[in-house]
Amino acid sequence: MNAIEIKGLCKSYNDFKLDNIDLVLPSGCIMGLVGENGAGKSTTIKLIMDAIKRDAGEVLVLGADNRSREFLSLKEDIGVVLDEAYFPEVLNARNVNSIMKNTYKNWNEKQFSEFLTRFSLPLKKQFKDYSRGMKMKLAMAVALSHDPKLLILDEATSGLDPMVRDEILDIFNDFTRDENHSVLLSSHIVSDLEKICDYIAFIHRGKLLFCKEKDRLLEEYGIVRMTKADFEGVPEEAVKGKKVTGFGVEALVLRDSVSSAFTVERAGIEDIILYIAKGDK
Amino acid sequence: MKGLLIKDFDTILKQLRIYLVLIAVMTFLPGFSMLTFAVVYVTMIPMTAIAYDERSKWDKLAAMMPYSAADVVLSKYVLGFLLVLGTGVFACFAQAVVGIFTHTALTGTFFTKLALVICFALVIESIELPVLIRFGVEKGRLLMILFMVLVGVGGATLIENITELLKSTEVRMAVPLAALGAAVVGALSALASIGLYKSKKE
Repeated sequence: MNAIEIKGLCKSYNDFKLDNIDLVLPSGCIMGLVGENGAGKSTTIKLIMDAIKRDAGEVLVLGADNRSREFLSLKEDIGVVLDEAYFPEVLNARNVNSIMKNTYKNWNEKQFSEFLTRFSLPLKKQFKDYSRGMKMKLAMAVALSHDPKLLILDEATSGLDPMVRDEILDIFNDFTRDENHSVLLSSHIVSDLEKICDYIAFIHRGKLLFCKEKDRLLEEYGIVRMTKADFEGVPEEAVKGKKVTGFGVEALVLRDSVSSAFTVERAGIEDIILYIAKGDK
Repeated sequence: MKGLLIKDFDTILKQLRIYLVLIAVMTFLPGFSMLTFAVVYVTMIPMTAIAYDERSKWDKLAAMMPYSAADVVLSKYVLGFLLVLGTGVFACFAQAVVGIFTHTALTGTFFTKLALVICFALVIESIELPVLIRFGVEKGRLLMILFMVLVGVGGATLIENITELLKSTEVRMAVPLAALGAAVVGALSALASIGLYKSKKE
C-alpha cells in the first residue's frame, strides 16, 4: 500500500498556482519535498491533510480519500509537524501531555516523556520562552508519541542545530524500519534530505519537476565541466541545466546521453535541483 | 473535544487568574447587579481563548489532528457555557455564605432572577461567538464593544424591571421560556459558527 497517492492536484490563489501534482509515497519510505520559498510545499502538505480546499485532483492518505469521513479517524495515525503553528504560548510540555492524552487514543505518555528527556525539553517552561528549535523539538515529540504510521513534517529541521538535526534524522530512519511507517519531509536543507530520503520530489513554482528515487537521480545525472567548444559536442537533450562562465561551461547532464569521452562527475541532489530550477542561466 | 477544552481551561487558568478572582469576588458582593455583572462578564473569557489560539495559529495545528471543524467550534461554546453556568453555581454558593453572616436565606426569587441572568448571558455568548469566529478577535473586538454597550443597556433595563416582571403570574413561565430561548439561540448560533468556520478554509 502507498502511504500517500496524489493525482492531478491543483490549487489556485490570486498570485500562485499549484499545478497538476502527481506524487506517490510508498509505505516504508522517506520522501523529501524540496523547493524554493513559495514553491508550493506547504500548500501541498495542507492539501494532503485536507486543511485547505483543493480545486481539482485526488488525494489518498493511508488508503483513504482525504475528504472521506474515515479520514478524520485516520488522522490518529498521522503525526504532523508544521513550520508555523504551535500550542498557545502560555502552556508548557506538561499541559501538552494532558491535551494530547485526550486527543489521541494511542497517546503514549511514557514515550512523550522519553522524547522530552532526549530533546532536553523542560516540563514546566512556557512556550513563549522556548526557542524556535525547542518548539520544533516539542512538535516532533508530539508527532512521534501517538504511534503514527505516517509522519508529515513541514520544514521541521530548519532552525535546529546540526547535532539535533542529525539525531532527528536518525529517529526518522528508525521510524521507517517498520515497513508500514512512512515519512514525508519538506525541507530547504537538501543535505538532510540527501542523507535519509528514499525519494525526492522537487516542486518549482507550483509544478512538480520530478518525483524519483534518490539513488536513481544520482545515477541518472552528472556534472560536466568543459570549454565552450567541447560543450557543443554534448547533445542538447542531455543537458538539463548549464552555467556559462568565462572559463567554460558547467552543466548538469543525463549520464547515458553523453559520450564516454567526456568526464562526468557525480552530481549531488542539491546540484540537480539547482541546475534544473535555473535551467540555462 | 475534551483535549480542546483542557487546552482552553489551562490557558485561561494561567492567564486570567486575577480576572477569575475578580469575578469570584463580585459574586460575594451584596445586591444583584454585581452578581449579574459577574455572570455577564464571564462571557468575555472565550474571546481570550480564541485570541491565544490565533496568536499561536492553533487552528492550523488542530486541522492536522483528529478534530472536525464542529469539534473546534463547539469546544468554544462548551467552554463559554460551562463558565457561565459555573459562575451561576458559584454565585449561589457565595450568596449562601453571605447569607450566613447576614442571616438571610436564598429565596425563590433569587434563583429565578439568577436563572434569567444565566439565560441572558448564554444568549450574549451565542451572539458573540459567531462574530469572533468569522472576523477573529482583532476585528471582532470592535463589533463586540458596540454589542456590549447594547448589552449593558439591556442588562440594566432587565435588572430594573425583573422584580416587577416576576410579580406577574404569567411571567412565572419566564425561566422555562428564557431557557428554551437560550437553547434555540445557542443551537442556531453554533450551526452558524460551524458554517462560518468551514467557510474560512482557504
